[in-house]
Amino acid sequence: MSQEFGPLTTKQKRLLRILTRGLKTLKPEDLSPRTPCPDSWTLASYVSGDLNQEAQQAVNAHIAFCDTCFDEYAALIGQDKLWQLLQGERTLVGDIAEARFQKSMGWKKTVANFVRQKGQEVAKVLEVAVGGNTYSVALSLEGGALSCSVAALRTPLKSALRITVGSGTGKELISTRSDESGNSRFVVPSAAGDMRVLTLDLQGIMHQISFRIPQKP
Amino acid sequence: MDPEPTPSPELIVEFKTLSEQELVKFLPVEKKDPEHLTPQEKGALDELWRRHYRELKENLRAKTFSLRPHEEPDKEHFLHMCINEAYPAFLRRTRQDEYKNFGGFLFKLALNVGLDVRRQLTKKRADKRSETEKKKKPPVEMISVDDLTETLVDEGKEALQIVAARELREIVRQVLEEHAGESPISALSTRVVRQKYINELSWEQIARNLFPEEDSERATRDIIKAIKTLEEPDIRAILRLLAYRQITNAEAFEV
Repeated sequence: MSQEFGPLTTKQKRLLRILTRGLKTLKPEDLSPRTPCPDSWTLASYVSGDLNQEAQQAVNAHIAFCDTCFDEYAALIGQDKLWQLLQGERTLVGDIAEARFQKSMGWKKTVANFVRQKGQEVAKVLEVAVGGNTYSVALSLEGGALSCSVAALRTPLKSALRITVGSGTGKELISTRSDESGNSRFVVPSAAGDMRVLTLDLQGIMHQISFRIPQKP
Repeated sequence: MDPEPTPSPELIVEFKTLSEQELVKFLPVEKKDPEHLTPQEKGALDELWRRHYRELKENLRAKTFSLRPHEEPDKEHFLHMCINEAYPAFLRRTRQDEYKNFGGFLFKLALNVGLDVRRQLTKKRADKRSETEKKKKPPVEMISVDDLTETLVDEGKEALQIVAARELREIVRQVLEEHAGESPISALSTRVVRQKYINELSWEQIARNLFPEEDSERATRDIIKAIKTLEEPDIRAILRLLAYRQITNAEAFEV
């Protein structure tokens, strides 16, 4: 875990202390659900992974604030899966370590979503804003190579992305273009400990993600 | 008794000989109320139900343990209730499109039906409880719409401070909601934050809410340890979301 996170800066620590104090001033109604409870079909679809991303996010947000729906979600997945969810997150955090964030270049948010899938060692899914468009970038290790899948989430500007992956020394390893919708998938040979820089370029608006290939989990 | 379908003899003869692909052609294209199904649609659905009944029952049985609410102590009775609900749900939900991944559809249908039955049972119990409570409770004291609680809480603050404090509470709410929306694990960790800071539950209570002792053999300390590991990534994510709203300085909260 320590490789994932550097120490908090003094400024961040102070903000955190105040935030914690701020949390304590919240009233129960501040943290009550603001959306109606999902019907049983929606919740079943959520558990079986059949909802689109927007609906999935809405249910995620709802169950965080609604105890009844969270209990139903827990009952649907069962205790073993719930435990796996907790454990999985703990053991996989840090498998692909983000080296730095470049806020100024338009980071929107990082989706801390680590999954272990059949045929893949680990994966990390990021949500990245480039200009007004948003893409999902899934990074996973498959048999010693880094597999990268870019998928359009919200793309008001229909234009192909220029995607490059470079080494830590700046050498370009791969350069490709997505389709007009912004979707692309490619594989880059990579070894544990290698530094990689992924650049997404949308009509000159650039966004970079730097990361290090983790040691074997 | 399980509700094994008993379609009319002529339909058995007609549909029994068809392959699944041929049967699917008779299914409705859109979701339909069972009473609006044509005889062909109903016949094809009944035949598919007959062929996949065991699979659906196994799906339901597998989910019985976790879905059965405490209000229903009898596991077999709960399963039987689910099976009874499953047939009309199957008629109502099944359409041509679902056959592309019929195994997945049957699994989802089992979850849906199990959850519906659970809701019926817990709601009945809650309704009963609230009726008893209504009887027992003394008359409720009416509070005026001009309740002064908010004003009293904010007493001694400048108007600007009151507005700023409320806006910040809203921002914190939004940030937590956005963080929760990212993934099920973020939803879980946001729930933990809520229980810890708002409901002021202890770690032990939070752990046992998540894994009730009577259902789980996991040690409380292991659960607490697992829950606490969510904190660090949470902090990072929340700080990042605050930064996205240009809140990078503690002074923003000092109102």
